[in-house]
Amino acid sequence: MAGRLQSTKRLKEYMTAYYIDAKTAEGSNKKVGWITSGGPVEFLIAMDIIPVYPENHGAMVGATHQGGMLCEFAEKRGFSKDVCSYARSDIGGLLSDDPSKKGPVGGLPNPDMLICCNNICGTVMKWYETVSRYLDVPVYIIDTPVIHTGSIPEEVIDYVAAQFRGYIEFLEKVTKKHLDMDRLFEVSLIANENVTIWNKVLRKCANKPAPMTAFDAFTHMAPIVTLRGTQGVTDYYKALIEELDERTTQGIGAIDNEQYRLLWDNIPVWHKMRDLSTFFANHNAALVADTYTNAWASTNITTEGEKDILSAYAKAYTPIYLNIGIDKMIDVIKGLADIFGVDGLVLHSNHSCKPYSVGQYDIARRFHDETGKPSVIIEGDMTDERSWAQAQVTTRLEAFMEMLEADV
Amino acid sequence: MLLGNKNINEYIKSIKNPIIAYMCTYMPEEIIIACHLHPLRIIPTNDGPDRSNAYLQTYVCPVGKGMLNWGLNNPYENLKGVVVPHSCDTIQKLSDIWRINHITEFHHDLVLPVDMTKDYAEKYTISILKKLLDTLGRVGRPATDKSLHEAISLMNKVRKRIRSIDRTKMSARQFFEICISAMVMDKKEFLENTVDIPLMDSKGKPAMVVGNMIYDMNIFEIFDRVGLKIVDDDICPGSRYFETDVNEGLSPIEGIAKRIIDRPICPTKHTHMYREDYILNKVRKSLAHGVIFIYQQFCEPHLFDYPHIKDALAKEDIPSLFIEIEPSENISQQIYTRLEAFSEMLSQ
Repeated sequence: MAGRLQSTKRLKEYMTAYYIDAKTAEGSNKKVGWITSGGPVEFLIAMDIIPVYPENHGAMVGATHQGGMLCEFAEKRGFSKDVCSYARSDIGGLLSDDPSKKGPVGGLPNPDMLICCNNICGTVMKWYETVSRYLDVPVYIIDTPVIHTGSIPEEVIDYVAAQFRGYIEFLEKVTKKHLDMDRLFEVSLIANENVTIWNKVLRKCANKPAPMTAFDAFTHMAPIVTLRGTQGVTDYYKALIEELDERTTQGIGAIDNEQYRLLWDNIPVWHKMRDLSTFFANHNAALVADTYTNAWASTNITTEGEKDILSAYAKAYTPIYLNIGIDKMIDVIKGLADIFGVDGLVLHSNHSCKPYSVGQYDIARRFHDETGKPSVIIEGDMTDERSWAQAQVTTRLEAFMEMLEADV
Repeated sequence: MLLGNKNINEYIKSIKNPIIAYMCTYMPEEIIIACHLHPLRIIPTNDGPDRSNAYLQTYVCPVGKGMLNWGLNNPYENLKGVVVPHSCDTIQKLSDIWRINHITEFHHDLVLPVDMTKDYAEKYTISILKKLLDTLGRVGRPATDKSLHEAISLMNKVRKRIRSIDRTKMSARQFFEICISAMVMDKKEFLENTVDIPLMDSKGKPAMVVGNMIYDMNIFEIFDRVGLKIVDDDICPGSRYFETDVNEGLSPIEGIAKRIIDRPICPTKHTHMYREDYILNKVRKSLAHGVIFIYQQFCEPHLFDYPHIKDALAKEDIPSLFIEIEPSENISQQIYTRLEAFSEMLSQ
């Protein structure tokens, strides 16, 4: 096996430096803004505001098996176990008065503002409203109507663009600073470069054998989500690409003896990354692509032909993967299956994420009908390790692998 | 005649005009009526086999499952289509499932704004309402200014009629059956049937009910049996349907849009006022002694608001009770006992 990517060490240093910067912002003249993972971070970067992603934190909470513990703090306060576990663990961390039980980085830095874009789910609005109440900080909501069919209508572009104007006013009010539109334009171009190079990173897995798997992508996605709009992201991924190319040149795959290539759908099961990675590797199967990390590989802010940059932002941030109709999602999945040459689809039916999970039965059916390839649905939860039935998941995955072995 | 759980389906079969079903009280029924169509709130009735499991996971709410099942088992020849106002994530996905599986011939997504605090929400609402009007005009008959004004006037009368009813002088079941009837019946027929509602003295302890789409009338019957008098509510088939009217002095679409923006808060929307403040105001005004939360299981938007409302009530020493109804469950003895105990506590 190729072992861990060398870049992982650099990633750790890169993200640690970012968190130190964010954690030490309090008392300095820098402001901290919590923002949803699909939110337009470029505005924060352009205004020198430190972006902090509670969802990224949720992933760390899950990966360090602290989800159940933190969720319990929220549950004691009355939040149901049926509420999203990213939100529950985050709120749990806020409610915990034990400094050793606030999460893997000792809790997130306190925000000066909350930016909530509902292009990923309606849950984030309820979550950010809750944080706004508990921490008494202002929240700005960017409402991006779902594009069920067709292209984005003009009235939606105008509506979302108007909200981006309001977003600027909100940021200027909180920071008491003016947004330099030239700087926003510059950051937008850098963000586009970041997205393009992240796409290139992911496309490296079209090589056979794939030099990394989706499990690596889940880890290395941190910069594109968190620091999009900064040059460091491009620099980091350039080095990662070099490493992946080196592996490909030498014919080294992320797993030994890659026989099956699979596509993953939904947020990872953060608390089972190692187990699932080992399971698939033991079955000579590489998860070569996923719908989750690819969601950050196509958001291009194209001003050409647009009324203004804010309309370009509306067009870039509205029809993203989780904000489109199920049939459009199926098209994306089939496209990825084609690009990466996959043999089957693994769908994580995630209790905590309805926009991602509801509709997966149709996705699986259509994927099979239209590509002839098999799929398997496993039940779980991204962060709350208590919602995981190991025996059931193993049985389903083993049956799926047996079917693949018989077919391929 | 008014409708209960048992005779809804029979009534639907007798509807003359083509039916447009909808999934949420954010639906502006005026637009359907103006296009000479019959608006029908989908009330899952658990008739027919449960076919929703082939489309929806076990953790999807019974409301979503029930509505999908209703569509899949649809026995109504007159059902032309469905309009889905965007509310929660589940309904958004349910809409796609409905559309791609061609459950009805006509399908329309009404993707309403979520943040009602911003001025541009109204402008956007007006544009999507105009599109809906145009689309429905092709399913039924094109709306005219006159048909729109008449539809608005009719819906205002329906809402006023419900508000005029003294709910403290009838059982909770009876009151919510009136609300459900308004969502299903021909509006003129509804008005004719609600002129003289028999009233009675109800001596129960005053309480308010807060929840989501509760359509099983048996739960409300328990309130009556354990001595609880529901003096106000914040549920989908209740005040969120009938409070606030369309301003008839405005142009029709503008008036309808303004009502959507200003109507009682649903947890899927963001407004200037958090729901705990809204509920607290209602409790104070109605002089309710306690609040019963009743949720269909897995309803995330409501479950997010619950701790905040519960805490706000506790600060004011207003007792509350949380009840969650599981999928396809007959109202259990346990729920009865808990409501009975709550009622006894209120009288102490």
